[in-house]
Amino acid sequence: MEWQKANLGIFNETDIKTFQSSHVLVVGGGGLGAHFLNGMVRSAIGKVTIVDDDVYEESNLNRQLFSTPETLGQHKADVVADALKAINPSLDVSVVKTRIQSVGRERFDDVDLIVDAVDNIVSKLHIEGLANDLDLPLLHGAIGGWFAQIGLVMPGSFLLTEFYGEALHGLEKSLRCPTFTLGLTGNLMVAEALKFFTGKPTLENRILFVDALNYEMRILYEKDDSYGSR
Amino acid sequence: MVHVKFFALLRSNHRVSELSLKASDMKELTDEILLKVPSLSKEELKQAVIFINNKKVMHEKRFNEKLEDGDVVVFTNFVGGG
Repeated sequence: MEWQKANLGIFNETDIKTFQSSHVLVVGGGGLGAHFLNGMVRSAIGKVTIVDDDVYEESNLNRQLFSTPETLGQHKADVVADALKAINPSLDVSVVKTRIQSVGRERFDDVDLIVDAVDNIVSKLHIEGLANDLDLPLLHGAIGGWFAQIGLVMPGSFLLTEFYGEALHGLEKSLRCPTFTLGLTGNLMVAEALKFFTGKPTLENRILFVDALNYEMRILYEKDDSYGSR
Repeated sequence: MVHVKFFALLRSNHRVSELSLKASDMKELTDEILLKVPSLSKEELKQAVIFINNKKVMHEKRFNEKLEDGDVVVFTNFVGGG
């Protein structure tokens, strides 16, 4: 498609072909997921699967990209899929309206990257286990208030399990999830996914912290198994 | 000296971003921090996630961890929303 060539500059024609032939499976189509998918489709991703069993409620209007008064009560996965098809009519998009725990393994057959855009730690750890079992990389994103974290979790690392420990929730419980932190983080996740697909340096087994209050971004954690021998 | 850095809520709420303190383990370090930053509560430190030299993640259970001169200890918070 001609318009996708507008991404030439930081990417070359081979990169764009790579995006066109790649498949991302995104768990969670609400806050992070919709911002991420919007950016991926505009960056020429060819195939997406959206896993989300939730429907839009009025309280989503403050932050979730495709929620409007007209879409209240509709499945997020359906609405996001329609919005993405409106951007790119030739996009191959599948919708799975169940919880991630019930998604059949056949859905992952040609998936290149799983994306954690869910809104709770229990599901994040479940997705990490699933990605590990399937031997697939996992792009992790999470936010709370002004703050966010992003990482690329490789099979075998169990980065999130180690990172979250026994925590059940973080700052999002009290500070909630404002739209700007979701947009910022969802789009940084797009950058990370595109870097992953084109072999550029990534956040492999590292966690980047983002602080939109003090305008800081830094890597605070790098998984290193040799540390324990100190 | 051990270099302490605060991020996220700890930093915003207490307006302190960095400290250099003498401590040989995490317990000594947290005691020193509480002396230097009186507005900070022990509970807030316990709820933090702690990274040592960007390589090791610590939760409350491992507060007996030894520290070495020059270690960088970061205190921040979890986020899990989306």
